[in-house]
Amino acid sequence: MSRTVAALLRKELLVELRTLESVPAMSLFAVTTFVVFHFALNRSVVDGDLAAGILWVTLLFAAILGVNRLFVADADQGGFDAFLLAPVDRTAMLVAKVITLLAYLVVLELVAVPAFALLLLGPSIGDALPDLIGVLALGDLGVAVIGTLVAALAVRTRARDLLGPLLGLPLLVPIVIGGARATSPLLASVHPTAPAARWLLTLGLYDLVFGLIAYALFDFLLED
Amino acid sequence: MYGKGLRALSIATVAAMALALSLVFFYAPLDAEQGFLQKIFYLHVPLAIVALCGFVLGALLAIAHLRTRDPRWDMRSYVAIHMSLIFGVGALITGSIWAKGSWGHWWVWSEPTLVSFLIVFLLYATYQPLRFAIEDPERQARYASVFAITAGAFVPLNFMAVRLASAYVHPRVLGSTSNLPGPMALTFLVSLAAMALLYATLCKFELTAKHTRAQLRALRRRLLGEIPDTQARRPRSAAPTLQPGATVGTQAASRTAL
Amino acid sequence: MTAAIVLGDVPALPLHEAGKYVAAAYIVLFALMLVYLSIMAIRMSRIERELGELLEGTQRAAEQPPGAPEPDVQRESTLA
Repeated sequence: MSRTVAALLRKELLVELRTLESVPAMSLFAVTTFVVFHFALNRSVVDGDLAAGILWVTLLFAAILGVNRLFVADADQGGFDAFLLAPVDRTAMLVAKVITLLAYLVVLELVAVPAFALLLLGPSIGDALPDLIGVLALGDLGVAVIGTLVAALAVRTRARDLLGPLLGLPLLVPIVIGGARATSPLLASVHPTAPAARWLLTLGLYDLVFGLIAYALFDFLLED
Repeated sequence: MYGKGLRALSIATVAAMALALSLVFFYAPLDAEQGFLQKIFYLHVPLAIVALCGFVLGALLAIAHLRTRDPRWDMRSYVAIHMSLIFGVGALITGSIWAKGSWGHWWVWSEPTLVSFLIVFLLYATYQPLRFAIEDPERQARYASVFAITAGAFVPLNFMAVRLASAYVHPRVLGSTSNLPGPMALTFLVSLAAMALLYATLCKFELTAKHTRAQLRALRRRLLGEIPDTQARRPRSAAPTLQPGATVGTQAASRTAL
Repeated sequence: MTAAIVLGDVPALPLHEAGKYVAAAYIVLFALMLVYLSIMAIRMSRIERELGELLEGTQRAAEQPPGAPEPDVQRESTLA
């Protein structure tokens, strides 16, 4: 199974590197959204709760862009059929797609977080960085799992661009709760502190449960 | 035969509802803090609990569907979720009325039950658009079941997450179900039972009606040898249609025939 | 419950403020059930109409001259 995953992963990343259709758009969208937030909120610096909220909302909506495109090539160009004909474990596609989306999110954050620190964030981000990376990693895992599941559900329906976000956003709310609550003490201007353990636990538990559910249910989506 | 227990069930529902309403207005004592307004509690919380259990029930029925591939489980799952959505709307509206009476606002973010309900409602509101967007009935049922299971797992997790998020900001506003005094607890339990019976009756009613329409269609086809023109006239709906006498066998046979 | 009042001792329900909201909440439930009832009633009348059409259709088929294709129902009844 790991060989299948590796082969699929290589294909995904190669396609993305050649076509560059998801990651640049996601990153650009995030930076532009920060500018929009500046004008919408009429603020030059943000900190604490507001900063955490802006960061997570922007990352979420940029992730949705990536989610929308995740299975489109497979659905439109026969990738599903080719995969179904191969004598491999079908869950390998789930794992490969989750890792792909995770990779997109990491690259997105490599662009978005420095942009955020530059454009909008008041307090310096340097000390908070290790903890922030941890929180983002937990959140990204959840977004990747749910995003993949939702993308697979939506891609072969008639309104695929609409159903993906509609299905995904409510499912992603607990991740926003955990992520934003965990991040906001990190970005406080007065007394930055470490994130509370309960939010990290929430994120971890959520990732685990939905990882298991996606693992159990993904095969049913691929049957034809 | 879906309608078999329907008469007994509806009689039980009427009796339980009448008993619950009498208890609420003539037996339960007035709350010290909220006074008469607290009576909404006996309506709002049972609606919410029954709706949530209904969503989880929909997920369990969807699991049965994916395991057996029997479309009747999918029909039951659809009806359970559909009815829970209606009960959920009732819970949201009554909760909002309660908030307006207690707090003066039609919406309060500090009440975690109401907030998680909103999120759950927004999620399940996509169930029918999802079904409607898939034309092949077998795939529609399968994808809907996957969604129902995912959403059913989401419901309790969402409640825990939202409760965590509000717990450290505001205390519970609209009262909790723990440490209720005796008469109030009894009234609450009877109201809960009545609401659950109402849910069961309405679901059975819905299933019977759908089955009846399917039998009618089959009869028409058999007697007149034609596809009923009403089907052509009626726009495509998101609801699954039941084939009377449909079993796993016939489904598999028709699939291999393709 | 120190301040709990058993309803029997209260002279009249405090209807001015809280009563409106409680009534509204229960009316919402009532309205939802009535809407559902009316939807089911419309479906029932549609079923009745279709059954009536079927009945007419079979009667017309029964009155046709022999040799015309008869529905299975009619043929079965003459097998006694």
